[in-house]
Amino acid sequence: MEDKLLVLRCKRGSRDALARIYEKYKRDLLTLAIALLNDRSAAEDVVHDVFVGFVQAIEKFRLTGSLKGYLLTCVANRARNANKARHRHSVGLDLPEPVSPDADEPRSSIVCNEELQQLSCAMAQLAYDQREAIMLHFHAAMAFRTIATQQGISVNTVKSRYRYGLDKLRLILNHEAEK
Amino acid sequence: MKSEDDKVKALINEAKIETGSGVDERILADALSELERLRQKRLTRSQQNVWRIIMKSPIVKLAAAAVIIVGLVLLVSILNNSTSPAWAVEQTIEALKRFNAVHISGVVIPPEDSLQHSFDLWARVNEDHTQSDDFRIEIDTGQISWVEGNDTYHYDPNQNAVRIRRGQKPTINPWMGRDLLQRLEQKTDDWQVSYGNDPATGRDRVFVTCSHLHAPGPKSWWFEFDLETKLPVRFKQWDNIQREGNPTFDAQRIVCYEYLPAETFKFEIPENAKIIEEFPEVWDKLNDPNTGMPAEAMTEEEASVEIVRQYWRAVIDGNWELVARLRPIANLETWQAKYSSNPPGEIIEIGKPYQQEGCSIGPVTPVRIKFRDGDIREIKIITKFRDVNGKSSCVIAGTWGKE
Repeated sequence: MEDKLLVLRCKRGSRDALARIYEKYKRDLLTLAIALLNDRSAAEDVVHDVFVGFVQAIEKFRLTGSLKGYLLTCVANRARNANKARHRHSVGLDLPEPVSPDADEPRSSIVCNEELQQLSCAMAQLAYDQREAIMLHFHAAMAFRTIATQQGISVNTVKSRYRYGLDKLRLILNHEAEK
Repeated sequence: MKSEDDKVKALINEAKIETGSGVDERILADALSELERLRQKRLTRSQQNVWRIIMKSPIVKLAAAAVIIVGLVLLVSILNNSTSPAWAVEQTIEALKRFNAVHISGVVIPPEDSLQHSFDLWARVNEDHTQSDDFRIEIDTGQISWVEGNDTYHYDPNQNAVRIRRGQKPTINPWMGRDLLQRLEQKTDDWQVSYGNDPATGRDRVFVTCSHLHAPGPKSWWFEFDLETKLPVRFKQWDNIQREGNPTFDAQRIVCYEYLPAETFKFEIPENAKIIEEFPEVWDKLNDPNTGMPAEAMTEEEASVEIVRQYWRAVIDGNWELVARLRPIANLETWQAKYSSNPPGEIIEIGKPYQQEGCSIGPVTPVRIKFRDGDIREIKIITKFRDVNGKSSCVIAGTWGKE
């Protein structure tokens, strides 16, 4: 209910409500974007675009499910587009900036803990579709059916992407642990 | 395998992030400035709308025309003082067609309350011009009710609480126009028209009285129309047929508008107000696992089309048991009676489901039905896709607009 009220206030131009929505979900959104893109700068752009887009559409926006689910879906959609664009424009050597320890990073940047760095690096070795299925199911707690509906694919495709991705992720993480 | 999954899940759960002030500043500042830009745009639009309302208001038009009219009225009254003014209900029906919104102020005496309350009501007609869509009412106690989508919001300042009644929408039904006025003229027992003047302004007025014994219950009405504009300006209702005692509803001032901005119907909920959500009984029926159609492995769109097809097939075949299961809120007897004289005979076409603004329950699926008398009607069916006990299913929640 709190989210509905925040959206309602946002619709009426409340800056405080918008700031509260941002504070409430920014970590979840950035975590998802980083895990999907393995690039902090691109992840920040995606979350930026999602929030600005959310405000631009606020007048017509109607919250029918969870706000967190909605925002995470927006991040997933934009991250997918960003990923496609990156592949279109890259010439092979233009690798994304990997997530790395942040000791020397300026205060203005995103600081990831060890688990997120490990997750992001491992995720980067999976196919994008598999990454997406795992993160949306685990991190966004979305049902396979919901993911399938949103992406216009079958439930079985989502499940197999998830299963293959998880197997590969497990291998990568075990291999890392052995090293 | 499960423990391995748990390990990955734990890693994802443990993944944490902190943002520096620069990141927050960039994202939030841009979003806030976008919000401000929208607010300014809305403000400008609202101011323009208010200006447009003022300019288009019949009152302003009347005032502007007053100089000419005064001369003409004087001339006419000198030349022919015996001319009796003429008015027919069709003229008012025609005049009302141009107006899409209304502001009514008056007093009401609720049945359970002997105290009189003054109120202000704003309403905007729906696309079909059949009933009100947006609606807002303020009572002198400070209580405010308004409609958003299919829900009613009720703010009580004494409790500083907002009650949201899901799926309940107060409407003016039928809207002021042909449906209401012709029905009153034809169905009431003693429709009488008389002429007079408004003592305050001297303007020519038409007064209509009528009553009905079962409306439901005994009711009588008194209407006042402006003879020149043909528009209603005042209206009273009594809960007896003799118009005895104080009216239970007295609309002392009715102003019709061609347009009212959406902001008129909105209300800013106070920051610390308590929110209480209430679901009507029908909500339980819509979520009852024994109702609806299984929709496993179907998308929402596929399920909507399929349930609309099954529903109309059942109505055509007279399979009322299935009708009741697919559309649990509907009163079966009402539908049986409705379709008995002119039953539907054929599904012509089922359109693509779409999201209808203002309909929060689910998508709207248009369907064209041919009735036995040859009439083809488009009916818009609202469906609700749901997940009950882990199983997907779909149910018909009602219709969007007239059926």
